[in-house]
Amino acid sequence: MIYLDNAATTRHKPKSVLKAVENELKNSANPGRSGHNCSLKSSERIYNARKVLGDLFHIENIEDIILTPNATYALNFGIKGILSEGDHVITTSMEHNSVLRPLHALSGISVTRVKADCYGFVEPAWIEAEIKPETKLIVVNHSSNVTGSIQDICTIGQIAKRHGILFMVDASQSAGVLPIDVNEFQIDLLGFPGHKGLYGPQGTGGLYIRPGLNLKTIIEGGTGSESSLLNNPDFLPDKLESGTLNTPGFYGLSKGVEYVLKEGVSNILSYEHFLLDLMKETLYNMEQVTVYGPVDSKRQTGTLSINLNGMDSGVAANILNDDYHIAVRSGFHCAYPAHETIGTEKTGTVRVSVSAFTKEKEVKKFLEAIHKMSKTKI
Amino acid sequence: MNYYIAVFSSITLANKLKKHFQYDGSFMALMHAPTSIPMNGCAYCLRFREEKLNDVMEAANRFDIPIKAIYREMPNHAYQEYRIS
Repeated sequence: MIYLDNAATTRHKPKSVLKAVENELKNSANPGRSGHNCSLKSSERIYNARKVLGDLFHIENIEDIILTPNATYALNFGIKGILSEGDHVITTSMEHNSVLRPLHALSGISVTRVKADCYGFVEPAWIEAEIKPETKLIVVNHSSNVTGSIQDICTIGQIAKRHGILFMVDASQSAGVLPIDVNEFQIDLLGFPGHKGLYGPQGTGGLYIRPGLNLKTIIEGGTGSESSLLNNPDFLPDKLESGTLNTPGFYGLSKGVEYVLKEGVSNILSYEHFLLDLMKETLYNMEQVTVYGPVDSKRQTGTLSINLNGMDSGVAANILNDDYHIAVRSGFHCAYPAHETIGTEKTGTVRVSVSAFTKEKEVKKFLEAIHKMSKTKI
Repeated sequence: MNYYIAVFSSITLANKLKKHFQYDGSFMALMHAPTSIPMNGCAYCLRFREEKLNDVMEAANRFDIPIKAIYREMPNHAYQEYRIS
């Protein structure tokens, strides 16, 4: 199988990740609950996961990193934890449902969705133009899961800071692929998954919360601390981490992050850009193929959306799977407004997404398949 | 040999300070705080020798790791609170 669906989850993980998960599963204990050596060892592994995430995102106080089951939980915790009735939020048309749906679900808030251009970019000035006195939060998807378009979060962060507005970044497609410095980018809340560009297992993610921000709890329960109190503790990470953590997952994630740190985010990005350019060189010259998103690969992460003219995107994906054993994702990618933005709200797209483990020959096989399919009448 | 325990609200903070001393070559035992110590229920502590007491307080201060309380181990598993000034 040629796996080109890394935007959904990275299939190929470093061996160290697999070993770590297996090791922890064979030596399971609940971190932060008991006092025996098994539990303490597990707690050290969780600590190390926070530490390396802190190294990656330049987070000094690692207790400000809340570990979550995935980015969706992280974004929900952030959005629902910080907003109150009467607040106004600015977001973009390139967001994933993990931002759009919690915003939609919250009653009593107003949301402005700034429309991106046809390449998927939002000018920071367009966001600034929507700021009102009651604007509490700006939430931006660092990189689109549909087109790979990278937003200028550095400038948007500066705008947010200047206006005293909180800035939340959805790093689902950018963690491990684009450099992220929470201080340099003035990020107040950063949500990320562990199982995509950080090469950890599914069931891992996290939310960074800037020191001093007070979020409401969404889930209350056992934290292994202050057990006699009925309220969750008021300190992080315990306040927002109720219940048993996915310790095998986070031990694995720590190894994934170590891999990313060792390889270098910029090197991983360069390689993904190389693969993107390889694809685009050919696809742009195929008459029957429409390529969406940025023209300059340097303005996107390793994700590309295409359509074969006259062929349903779902049919195309099925043919790629059945006849060519190539895994891609078709449809609307949990980001319908992004498809409205690029004009594919009726068709969806075939989304191809690479990782640090994608081979050049795999991309070439994909291009051969697309070439053959483009000659086929359906 | 006298031992002390420094109690933290969260295992994350306890681990943070323990790591600092590990880099230093000093081993500190991380353990569940005794339930006789009034900490609203569960807590974790670092156990160390008396001669490390000033180092512990100084490191906690330097790295902004709040210590909830410090206790001196007494005979018969009793604990006497040490006032942090």
